Amino acid sequence: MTVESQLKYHFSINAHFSELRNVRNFVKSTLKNQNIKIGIIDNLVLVVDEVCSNTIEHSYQKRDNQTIMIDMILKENEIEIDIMDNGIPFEKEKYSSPSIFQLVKSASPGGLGLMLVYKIADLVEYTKIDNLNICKIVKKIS
Amino acid sequence: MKIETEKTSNYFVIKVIGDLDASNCIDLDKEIAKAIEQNQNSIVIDCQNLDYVSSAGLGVFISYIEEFKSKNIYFALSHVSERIMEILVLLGLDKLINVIEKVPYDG
Repeated sequence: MTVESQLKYHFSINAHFSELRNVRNFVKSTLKNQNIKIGIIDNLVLVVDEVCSNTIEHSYQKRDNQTIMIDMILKENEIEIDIMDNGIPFEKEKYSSPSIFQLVKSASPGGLGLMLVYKIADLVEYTKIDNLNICKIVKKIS
Repeated sequence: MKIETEKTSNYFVIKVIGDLDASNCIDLDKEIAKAIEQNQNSIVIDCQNLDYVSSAGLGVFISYIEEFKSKNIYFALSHVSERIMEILVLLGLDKLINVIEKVPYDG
């Protein structure tokens, strides 16, 4: 039996747009110390920013005094990032990815962030455990 | 994020400096709206010192594409870094927004 080595990091923020910079710095500095390729780091920084932005806007509806928790688990061949909140859960079944042309035509950029998340991540999974919403992102690194 | 504007003979240049995300994209939106209100007909976003952009920032551009078309306003991004270009390509925005190397010299 082999035991897969993994490192786990945790970070939490107030659910406010002004905290996005701190989230990006957390992801960037943590992964930089692990010699992950810069292209992968940049993509994961963007993905976490997008999920947190959506959480602030839709899940917490910009309410004050709410928290977003982030677990980053570095495994041998992949990075898993779990972004958790206690707000309104995202209804994946109601989401259909718009085309970029639809967004331009409607002059409404809603859905653009999630489009990026799905294009970049190897796996995106939404689950709910009691009152905790978990968005799990997986990116392969080899 | 900081925004600076400059008017050359032919272009209205909006320089975006720093990180453009959901916390500040409204400022860029206001600046573009102001430029349209002032009847600027050639708007260039100078990205030379734009360090980071998320979908919130790109969404601002998307929300104006149709208006630029209907009002016959020239719009372009200049000095786009390799990283930002990657994101534009990923979303297919490189086909919908002009990307130019630099603001053309207009004397």
